[in-house]
Amino acid sequence: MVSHTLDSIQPGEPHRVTWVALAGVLGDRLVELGFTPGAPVQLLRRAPFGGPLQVQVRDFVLSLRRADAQAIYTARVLPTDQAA
Amino acid sequence: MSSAGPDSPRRPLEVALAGNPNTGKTTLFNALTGARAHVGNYPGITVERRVGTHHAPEQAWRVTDLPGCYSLSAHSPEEEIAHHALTGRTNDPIPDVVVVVVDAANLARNLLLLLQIAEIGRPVLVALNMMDAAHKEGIDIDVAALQRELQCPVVAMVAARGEGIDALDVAVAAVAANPQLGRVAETPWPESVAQTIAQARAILVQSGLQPPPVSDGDVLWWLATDPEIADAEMPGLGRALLEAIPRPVDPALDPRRVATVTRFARIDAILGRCVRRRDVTTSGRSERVDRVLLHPALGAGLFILAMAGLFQAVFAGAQPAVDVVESVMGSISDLLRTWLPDNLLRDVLIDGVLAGISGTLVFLPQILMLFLGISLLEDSGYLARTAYLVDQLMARIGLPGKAFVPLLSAYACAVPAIMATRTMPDRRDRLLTIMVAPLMSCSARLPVYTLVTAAVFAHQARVLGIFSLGGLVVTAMYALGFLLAIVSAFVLRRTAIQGGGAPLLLEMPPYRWPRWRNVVRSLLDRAWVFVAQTGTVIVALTVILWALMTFPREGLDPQIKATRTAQVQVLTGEAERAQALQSLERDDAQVRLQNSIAGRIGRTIEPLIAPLGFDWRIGIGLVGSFAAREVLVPIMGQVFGRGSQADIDDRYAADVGKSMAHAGALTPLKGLSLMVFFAIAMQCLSTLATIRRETNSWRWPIFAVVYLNSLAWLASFAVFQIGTRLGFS
Repeated sequence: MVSHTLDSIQPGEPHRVTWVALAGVLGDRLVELGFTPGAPVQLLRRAPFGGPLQVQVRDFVLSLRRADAQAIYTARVLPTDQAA
Repeated sequence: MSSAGPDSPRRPLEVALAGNPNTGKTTLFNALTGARAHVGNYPGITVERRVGTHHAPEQAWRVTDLPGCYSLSAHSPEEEIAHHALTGRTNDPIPDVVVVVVDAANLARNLLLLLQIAEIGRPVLVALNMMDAAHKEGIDIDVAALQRELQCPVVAMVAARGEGIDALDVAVAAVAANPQLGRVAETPWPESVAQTIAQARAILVQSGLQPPPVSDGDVLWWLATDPEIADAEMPGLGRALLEAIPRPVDPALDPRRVATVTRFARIDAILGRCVRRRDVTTSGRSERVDRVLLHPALGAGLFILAMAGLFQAVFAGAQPAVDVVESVMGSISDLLRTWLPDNLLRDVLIDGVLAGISGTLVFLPQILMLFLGISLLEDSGYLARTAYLVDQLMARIGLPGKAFVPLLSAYACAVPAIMATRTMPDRRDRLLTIMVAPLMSCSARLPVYTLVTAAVFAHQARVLGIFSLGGLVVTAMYALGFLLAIVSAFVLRRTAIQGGGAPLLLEMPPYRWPRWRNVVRSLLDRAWVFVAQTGTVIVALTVILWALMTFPREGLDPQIKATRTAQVQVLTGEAERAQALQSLERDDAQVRLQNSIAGRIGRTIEPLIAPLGFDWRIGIGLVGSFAAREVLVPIMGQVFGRGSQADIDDRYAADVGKSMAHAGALTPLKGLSLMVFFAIAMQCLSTLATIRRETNSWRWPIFAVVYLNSLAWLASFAVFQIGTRLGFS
């Protein structure tokens, strides 16, 4: 399984969260917002000039700075996995 | 504790509304309480507290609208307050029933909060709101099954249309009568979490925390909360917990996080049995709108248009209403002046109290205009998008994206701008924005700039043949304020307001049509809070300032006055006599002002302001313009014998400036120094009163006065001293 980080994946590509590598309160907060292992996640778009990212986790759309998204690891959901 | 059921008719039922932001919690609160709500602050913290009454069929409820939060573990003031209100740590009674308002289209994240509230032992029920929107998104919820799985009542609602309120009345009454109905079973914790709970419980009990934690959920709350907050409750507690249960190298193994993941696993299992997703092939409506509004080019253009519209509305759109307020208040004060006997009481009423009231009301049009814009932006979901769009730009000046709208509005007026910072989630970011907002060149500075430029820069040659020097200098003042705001933000972030720089975890809620009822309600709340809470401080400060400018009321020497009065009497022409009388009164007022406490202060501070190029007469203006910057113009009018005038138009400002120049108080260099001083200095009672209300303490307004006025002094000092050395005058 290839591991990605949330800032580097293709917009619109379905992924699942594998690991939130951020320590401390910010990481706790991300997990509380639904970034738990296995949760469906996708990158919707990137703001221009290195601005934040628009991300959807579960049914929740939020913006995240790129540096923070870098610590969220994901795995791509392949079409064959989707039935599972 | 929560034993009072329907059999105690005298005490209303304590009902708290909890929920994530953007769940329609406020809509439900408004629907329940109608127009009767009280808006205040929680003690010590700048979180608003809203309480109202709902007349349910069996028993009235006292409804508290808890601040919206995603989780109960305290990482923000909102969450801290929500927890403290639920556990009786605020001044309010512990709620009998907690209604958790849940967005049907975002169930998992919303139910986390439900579990956390149930864990600390409050009887809960779910108001499953926005069922219509969820259905449109292809989410079908089996409400009966959800109720069975959660073991607490679940009421399907569309609060915006008032649907489901009757069912909510019944469910709340049932839970109040039998709290067992609202007890969600505890989540079975994995071994590692259970062990940690036992460990943490021992520490909490040993520390003597009151009341001692009862449930596992209580213990977990203290464990997961910010050590600072635990320390504030019980010195050393946060650190003791962190030392006993350190954070492991792999954050995923932290028991605090494992607990959250466990809750989500339970929620996901429940939802798997109660929620069916129809295959919705097209992406959501909001995503389609975002493709346009967040488009790199098109979105940026629409953003600029929206912000220009908002600014224009605050800056110019409110002006007709401001004119009406001013003319009505002017007529009232004229009437009172003719009706009431000429004595000190009349003067304090008109020039102190009434001036303060009108100094409050005059801000209302701009406040209402700005908050109309903000609540439309916020309720529609676009405000969060603006923060996303400008975050990178704002990061360069050291502030978050959400500071953009407040700072933009500060170019019209700092008062509504500072009130608008309440849309900012992080306390320190918000404080920082409040501290730099007064540096944005507000419209009250324009009369001062006009006074100076008309007097000393109007007849100078054009720069490069096209730009008038006065126009360039005014533009430079705007730039100066903006640059100093960036520098101040940078310095304050490292000194007085450390920390902050909150991560951008901003919900981008689905686009929705704003509800006019919510918009009107939030406008009325804002207006009421400003008039009642900020207004009283403005009136008090205005009266004090009036006293400084009035006492000890020593006008012209009585003998001189008598002689001149006699001279007036012998004049023949009616017009001549009136003119002479007016001139006598003007001179009398001039001397009275010069002899007043403010006049004496002006004289006393002359050594302090002389290096800036100001004499004691301008010193009086600096004291007096604390009421509002533009008041400098009529005060200078009075001091330099032009008389004061209520209507400060450009022509009057120019005339006063010319009188000052004629008397030698204003030269190009002195004028520039004066403009620089006004561009920076904190001289506005209303802004101070607003900072006090928004930060809930006198500490920050006093800090703003000290730092901004020191900065203004230094900048004017540099301008005047360097200018003099370079041979300018």
